[in-house]
Amino acid sequence: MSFTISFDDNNQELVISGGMTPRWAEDLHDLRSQFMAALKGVLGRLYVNVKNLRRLNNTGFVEVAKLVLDAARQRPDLRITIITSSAFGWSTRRFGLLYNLAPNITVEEYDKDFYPGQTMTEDAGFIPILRNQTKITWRHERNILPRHGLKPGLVVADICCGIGDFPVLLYKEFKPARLVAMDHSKPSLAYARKVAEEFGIRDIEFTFGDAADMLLDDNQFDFVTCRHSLLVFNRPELIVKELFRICKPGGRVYITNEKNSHCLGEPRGESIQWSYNQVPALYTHFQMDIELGPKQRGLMVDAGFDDVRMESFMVTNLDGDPQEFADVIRSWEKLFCDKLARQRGDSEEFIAKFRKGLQDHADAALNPKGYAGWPIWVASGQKPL
Amino acid sequence: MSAAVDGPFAPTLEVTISTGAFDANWANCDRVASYLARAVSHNRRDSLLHYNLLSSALNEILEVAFRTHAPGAAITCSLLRKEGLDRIVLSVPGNEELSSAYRKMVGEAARDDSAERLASEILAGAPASAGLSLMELAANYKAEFRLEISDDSRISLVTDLALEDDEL
Repeated sequence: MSFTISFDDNNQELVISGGMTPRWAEDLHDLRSQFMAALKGVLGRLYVNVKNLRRLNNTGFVEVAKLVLDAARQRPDLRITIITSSAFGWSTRRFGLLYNLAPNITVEEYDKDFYPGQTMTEDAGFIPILRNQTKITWRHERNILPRHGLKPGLVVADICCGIGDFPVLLYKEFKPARLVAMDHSKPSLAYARKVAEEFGIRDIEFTFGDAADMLLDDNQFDFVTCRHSLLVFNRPELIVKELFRICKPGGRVYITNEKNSHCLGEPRGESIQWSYNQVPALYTHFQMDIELGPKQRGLMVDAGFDDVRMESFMVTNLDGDPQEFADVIRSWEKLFCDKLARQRGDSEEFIAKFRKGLQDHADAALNPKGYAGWPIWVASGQKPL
Repeated sequence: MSAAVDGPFAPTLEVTISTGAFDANWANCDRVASYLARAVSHNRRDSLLHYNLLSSALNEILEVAFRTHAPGAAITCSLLRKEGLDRIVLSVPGNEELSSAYRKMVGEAARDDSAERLASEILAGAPASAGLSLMELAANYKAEFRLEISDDSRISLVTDLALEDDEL
């Protein structure tokens, strides 16, 4: 394993990635030269990005630490921010040591500080929404998944697995040879492990990780799923790139997302439509794209996938128990109105009108003559052989 | 840490490498660490994180052995497990002088203020060393060390790690 160094002048960011395990400090001559060269030209703030540094021995760490400390002493005018990753257990702990050694050094964990939307949805309070959503979408997806290549005996990864209900359903229905389920929320993973244990399922490998920078090796999965998650990332193309990387050549990646403004219902269709028309801007405010669904095809083509297949399905109150869909809509109401709109600073008048349309949608789902829908887009692509 | 779980450690994997082959290439530390960690991490609560933590710690310990062993036939690395605890036993050919060096390193690493001392060593510009590696494992991985020295002067460095500790 070897490391690479690059300097992005535009962002004033020195990026060190790969594995740095030098035998001697002198082996890091190139690092020192590039660091010093970068230091000469920067003003205000220097980012030292080690989030993709997967292995770092003590010799390497001591040398990087010395470079950063020397720079902090020589350039008191400079703020040095070290960007670590929570995906590697040691990264923040190690570099966190430098935080107290110089007043102008700060350490930021990439995953927490750089995905504002994701942090919001990692709240344990989000678990009931995810649980209900999977329950009602599974009725459709269990039939859709085989059309996109899922069959028994495959090596499967579910990235952004949330509370683990989808991998449990997938495991029971499709009997994969191996199933790795990854998420970035520790409360969700704890819940997932508990649920799997209760069902007596021991073969799902639940793992903590950052979808934009996974610990998983290249080319190892026949089928990779990432459902309803890209919308919370401000740069979904980075996740798609990672999904592509871990997929075997010839394997397929399967993603789902919605276009929330296309939610519909009757009666009170106008009120419902008004509220859902407000949601995209609300999500954009938090750097999330809840309209991503139809954009998936472009994302997959841009990432290099072949044979991109696209379809959509509509979750409705006629699928099963309408109460389940109404519960999902009510959990959206709490998230949209009580959390996001309030955090954005919306007026009480706006929130009341916003809430009314969502309540009308839930009522439409429960109305014996009503109809309520939530459209979702599925895309899958094959990694070229 | 170790006292929290009763019962003996169960052996999971052991490799013996001739010192000649091991010493031939510094990258062997990383290769052996990655191979062993991957082999034993699959059935842990979080297999990928466990692999990353164990292979990093193991690499560090193998680098200590690479830097600090006497001429002799072989280096043996054993991995053991007791519930959430991992034990690494690294056995290297030694002599009186090396035994003394290992005792000093382990004594230094075992102190409660390992994190503070590691910080002050770095601040003082101390060069990387085997002792600093163990100190960092104690500070950042909460590693606990013990030394066993056999009659034939072989040195066994026993390292206990609670890698499934939520704080890691």
